[in-house]
Amino acid sequence: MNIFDSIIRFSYSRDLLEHLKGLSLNGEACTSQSVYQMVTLIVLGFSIASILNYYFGLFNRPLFSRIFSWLFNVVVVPFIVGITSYSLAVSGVPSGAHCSYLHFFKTDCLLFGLTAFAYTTVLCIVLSTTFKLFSVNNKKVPF
Amino acid sequence: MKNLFIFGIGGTGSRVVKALTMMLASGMELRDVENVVPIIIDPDIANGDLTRTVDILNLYREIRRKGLSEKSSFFKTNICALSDLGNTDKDNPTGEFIFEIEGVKDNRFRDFISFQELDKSNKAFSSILFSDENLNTQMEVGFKGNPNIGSVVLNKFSKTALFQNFASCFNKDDRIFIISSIFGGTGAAGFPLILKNIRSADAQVPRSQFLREAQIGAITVLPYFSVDKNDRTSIDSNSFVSKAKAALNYYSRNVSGNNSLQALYYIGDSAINGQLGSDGAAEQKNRAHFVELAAALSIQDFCSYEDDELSIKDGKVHKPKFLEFGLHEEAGKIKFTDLGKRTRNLIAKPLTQYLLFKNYFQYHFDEYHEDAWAKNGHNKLQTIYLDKTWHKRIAEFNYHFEDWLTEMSNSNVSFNPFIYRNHGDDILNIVVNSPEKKKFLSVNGIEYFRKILNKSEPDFDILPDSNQKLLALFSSVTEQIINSKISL
Amino acid sequence: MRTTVLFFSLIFLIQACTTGNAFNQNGHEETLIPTSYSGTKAKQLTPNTSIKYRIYLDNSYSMNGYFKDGSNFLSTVNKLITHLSNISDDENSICDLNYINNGINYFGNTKNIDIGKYLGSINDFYSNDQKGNRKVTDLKDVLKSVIDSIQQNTVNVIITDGIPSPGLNGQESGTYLDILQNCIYKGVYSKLSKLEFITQIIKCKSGFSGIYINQLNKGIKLEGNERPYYIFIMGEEIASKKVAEFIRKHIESSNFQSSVLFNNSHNITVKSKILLGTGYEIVGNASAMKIHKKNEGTNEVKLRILADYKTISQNDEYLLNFDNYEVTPVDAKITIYKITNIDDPLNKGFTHKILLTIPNLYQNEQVKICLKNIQPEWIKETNTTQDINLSDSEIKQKTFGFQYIVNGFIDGYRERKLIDNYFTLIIKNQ
Repeated sequence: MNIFDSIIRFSYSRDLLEHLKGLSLNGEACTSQSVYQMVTLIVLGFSIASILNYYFGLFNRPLFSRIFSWLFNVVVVPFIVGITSYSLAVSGVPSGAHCSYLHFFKTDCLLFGLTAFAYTTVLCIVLSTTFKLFSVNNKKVPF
Repeated sequence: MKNLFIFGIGGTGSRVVKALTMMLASGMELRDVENVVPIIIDPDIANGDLTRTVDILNLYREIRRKGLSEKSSFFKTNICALSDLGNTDKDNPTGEFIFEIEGVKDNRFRDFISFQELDKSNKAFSSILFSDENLNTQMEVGFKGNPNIGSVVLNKFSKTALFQNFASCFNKDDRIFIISSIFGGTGAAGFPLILKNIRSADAQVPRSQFLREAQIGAITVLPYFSVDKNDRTSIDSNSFVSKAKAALNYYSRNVSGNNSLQALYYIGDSAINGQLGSDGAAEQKNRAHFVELAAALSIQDFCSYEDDELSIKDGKVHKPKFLEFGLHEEAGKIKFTDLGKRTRNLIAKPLTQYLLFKNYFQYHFDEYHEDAWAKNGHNKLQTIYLDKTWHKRIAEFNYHFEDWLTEMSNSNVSFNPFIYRNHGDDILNIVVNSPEKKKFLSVNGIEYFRKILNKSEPDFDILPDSNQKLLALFSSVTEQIINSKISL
Repeated sequence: MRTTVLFFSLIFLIQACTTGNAFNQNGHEETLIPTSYSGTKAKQLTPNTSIKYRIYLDNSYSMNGYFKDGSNFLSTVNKLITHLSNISDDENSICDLNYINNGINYFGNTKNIDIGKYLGSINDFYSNDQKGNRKVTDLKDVLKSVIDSIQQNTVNVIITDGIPSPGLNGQESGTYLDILQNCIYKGVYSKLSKLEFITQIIKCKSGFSGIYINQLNKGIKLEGNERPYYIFIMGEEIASKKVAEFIRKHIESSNFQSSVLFNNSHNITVKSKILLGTGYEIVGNASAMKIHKKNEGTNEVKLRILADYKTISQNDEYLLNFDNYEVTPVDAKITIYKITNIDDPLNKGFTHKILLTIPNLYQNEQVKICLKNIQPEWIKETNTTQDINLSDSEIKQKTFGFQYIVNGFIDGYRERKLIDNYFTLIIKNQ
């Protein structure tokens, strides 16, 4: 069970989804390295780290107590996560790198990257609404 | 707790009261004093020094009334007018700080003493005491450096309603402090007369017993500036020293010599500190001077004595004190490091605190109105949440505060411990020879200021309104900043 | 105001992520194909916790070879009887113990008889506890009697070497097998018309040292050899399957050989889904799957199909054996996997995954996958119609006339239902 099983996703191919879940080359079961788990950790890790950094770390300065700084934070970090997710997914596109019964292309990987981007953004926003309450300088950002 | 009645006589009296007001605003405390009651005695009520001081006193009173809380050190001491002491409506004090002398307005001295109505022998006697120039002096602009005129006019003091009012408000534990210059007209004459009237109050005066036994301190300011001779003044500063010598001679017999004062402070400066000469009125607006600040410190010093150190019996002080002010290092431009340790401890921190507040308020308050500290809590601190009038009063008071510091820095001797207008990244670089202490990876300058504001704001949200919160917050924050970032 | 703007931005973002948006490539993934079969419905057994178990243990002389201390047979039978005894330990449930030889001899039930005594008495030829004629095993009558005795909420378990020893000479034995098959068929057919029951036959093997009785009723001494034996489980579906599962679970894997299950389920519905990745699309509706491979180039088609075999009463051995599937064209290949991760939402509702490879599927060609309902191959391999001269390997594998017994069951069940294929899927490339 993975977080990506439970959430709404951009409609990238289900085959990519199975590949990301680690479907073995013979197609029997998900026994290979799970990119989903890795990306889930990246999404959670980067979101929490960036929001912690913004509200309690290096960005916890009056200089950054403005909505543009916050927006920058919740766009750049998801962008990095999106690019990383895309890279991890696209590495499975060449034949031989995935189960031959799965059919997906780079556009699927791009949609997966967008999904990761979107959810990191949402997660950053959600985390912001909680973490901001305990911040010294950024407690009023974004609202 | 007690009242401290301060008689500020003449232009110097006004300026010393102003200096005291500025220091009380910045958080200096007078031990065991509940109310400071300034009474400014000057025949020249249009005098620029006087009107400015009265403005400042009114601003102080208004700011304090709406903004003071237990958590604020700014404006902590109450300053009120004599008439406000008996006023039950304490939320709306309107009393005047000025003692208006009757009979001087639109009058020449000649008319005041009814010279024309005197018989021939008295006229001849008066002519010996007063020159024609004296007799023709227009008194509504003061006594123009003529104590012989002042002593006659001010001798009516004990008969005035103000004196009666003052006497009736005077309690056993209250103290009196008299500020005067020795080299002018009003101060030199007024000081001994007021002292005499208090000490020799007869039974018809209310609470005369308390007055006779009152704890009285005084400062007499020796010449510390000269007046540039010009067409607009008849005051000749060359006569300041000779007048001072004559007055001292008189004091030695009638003030200090008869043990009628608990403490007498002397202060003066040999440096020539040129002021643009003026006979008075609005034009008499002399630059503030460090001597006035030091003179104001004598009030603090006087309050610091215990009652038993100022004992008096039958109108005679047991052990009168005669004191002078000194610097740790003589300097043309006085910095905090040139001050004696006690003086430094007394004024460096409050003045720096208030200057930090003033600079932030002046340069950054509106710029950073979106900061957490301004937007957070029940009582927000953005301009729209503050009382508009009060906000304006703060700005006006700050304007006077900056003027006062600037004038002192431009005087000779110059009191120059601050780089007054530093703001932004240099907002904490305001004390001369004491740059902001910077730490690795720590925010500095205005960022640090905002950070501490953000951090401290929640502690002050319990205060009932935004005005009180603002003063209390800045009072606390500026103290924290000095403790961590500025070596005083 | 700012809060409102942010709120709506968030809603927009979530909306943008939904599968129904403009990015969605509709119909790519889920195409469900239900296939159902119905037949005449008979009275169904009621699943009840109060099941009556009846154990019929073959105690003919030919069984003596299995009853050696430490044999796999003894261990398995002991575990099974103990288990059934335990699960029938409540008031309404019971586990009866019987011997079978020339007839059915009731021994007692597990509530009042010691299991050890039941098993131990088999070796004791002179035991008073032995009943019936041990020289003769008339499987025809015995099986028919056991089938006849199936009632609602009963599970009958027969443990036998499966060798019919009716006490006839060699010439008569061939005729006997036909009679045996017919007798079983009639018994099954007749019983199925009254109530539903399933039959599972499990083939096991065990060490054997004793006398083997051949079709001429002649004893052949075997020492240190191996012989197959069989456990027939007949009765209420759920309880019977549980018994079979227990045996599968507790018998050593090297001693389990094969099994077959007969069921006259009337509602077999196989749900299936073709998983189409990027590059394929579904054309038309799902009555017969029409796919279109969008990319040019190779005609090779590789597809994954999910199937739900829950309603098929065959065991995994059957379902995973691609010999039981018919796939056309002939060059099409399939691999079947059982879905192990049932929590995975991708596989939810499905039990098996079929990987289909067609090297060349041209336009308008179609591929057909069919799960057949056929007799497992091992039954034929187990059967022999003569056991006079058996080789060593045949001794280990073969049982005289076994196919006749199984065919009796198959015929009985086949009469009650018309299912040739459990599941058929046709995919056309359009």
